[in-house]
Amino acid sequence: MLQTLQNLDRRILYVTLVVLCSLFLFVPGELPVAVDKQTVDLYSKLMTVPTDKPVIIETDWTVSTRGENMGHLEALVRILMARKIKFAFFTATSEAPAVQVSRMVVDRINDERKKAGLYEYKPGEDYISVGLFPNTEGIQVAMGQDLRKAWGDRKVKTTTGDKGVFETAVMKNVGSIKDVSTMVIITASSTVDTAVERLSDKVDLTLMCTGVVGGTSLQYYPAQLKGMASGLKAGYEIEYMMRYGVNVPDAKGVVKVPADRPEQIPAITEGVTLDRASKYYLTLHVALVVLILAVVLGNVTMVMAKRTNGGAK
Amino acid sequence: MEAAMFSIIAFYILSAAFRAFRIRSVESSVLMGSALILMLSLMGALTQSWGHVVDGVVVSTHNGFFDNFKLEVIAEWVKKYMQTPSIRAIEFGVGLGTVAMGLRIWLGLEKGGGGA
Repeated sequence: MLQTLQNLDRRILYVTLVVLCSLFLFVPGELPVAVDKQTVDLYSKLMTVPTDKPVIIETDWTVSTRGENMGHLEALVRILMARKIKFAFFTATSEAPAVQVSRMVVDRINDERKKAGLYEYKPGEDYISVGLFPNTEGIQVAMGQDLRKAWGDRKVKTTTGDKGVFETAVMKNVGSIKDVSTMVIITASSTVDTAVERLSDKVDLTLMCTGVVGGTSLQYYPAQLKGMASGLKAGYEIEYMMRYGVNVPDAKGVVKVPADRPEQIPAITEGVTLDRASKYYLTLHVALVVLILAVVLGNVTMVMAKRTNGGAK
Repeated sequence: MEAAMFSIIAFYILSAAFRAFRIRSVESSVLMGSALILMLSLMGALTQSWGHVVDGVVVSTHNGFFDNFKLEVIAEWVKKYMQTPSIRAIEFGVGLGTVAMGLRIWLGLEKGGGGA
């Protein structure tokens, strides 16, 4: 038995992981969650920004981190569309597919709303895709100094043909970045670091990032970042708050998301709320349990081997 | 391609967890303990269930101190008072080192590499 465990073929571990994670992807269910303070702050910020000012989204991720970032962007777009807030999104990374995946997400949410009979966002009128800027720090510096110059030469697609960014209904009243209600950075890399350095004193920054980036970005919260969602768990937390609100009692008087703040933040009352992150969250549980079991099993095997060999290494 | 590469990491992590993550010293025990707490705190179902147990203890003993044993509270403490200061210290160190090296090059004291 001990020998078998010590010489366990790694392919067995791989198959176990694949089978369990794949199986639980198809198990529907809503899990409870204790929501982190920084995620509540992010949701609160998104739910309280004025509806007459646009939001800028810097979306710096590709399909490699879709498990985390795609859920983030979907939730963000759903919140903005439900609140009828105009938004502009751009990519500040050298990874070209980042623009395309973000466009696909916005188009898909729009289709989803159309099928549900909800208001469909129109390019140029309600949102614009500003495109790719491969020099992260360069564009962030330029945006901080003069947004009109930084984006001025770009043409964006609208329902009536291509137009300059500041000719669109989304950006026509924006003179500088200070006229934007908030800037949300969705990232899988350190592009948030330069954004904090270059823009945090000019616009309210919020962050939605992978769990890996979240570890090093937590130091910016709450001073430079007004809210942040880190990893898949935070993606699920956002969806959970979209469904239940914060400090809002349900019909039985139960508050699903209690938070240490006086006010109530309402739930989203239209469209889809629990979606991608909710589907992946159970699988995250399973993957973590498998990982913990692997560590425990590995250590038990080591201890047993030591005892069998009389303490010899 | 990128998605495939990232997915493969999961297999290596699992294999390494089984074969290499061994408790052989105090340092590795501390690392294992904090990693375990953070991993458990990511599981909402578990944190809620454990939270109800802790709430029960708080109600029965009338002692709010036990609230500190909730998984999310411990994880928050680890992140706030251990992880974040460590990262800040590393970044300050890197920053000071960069300034010092810049000054050395500027003053002509650095003879190797870029100063040669």
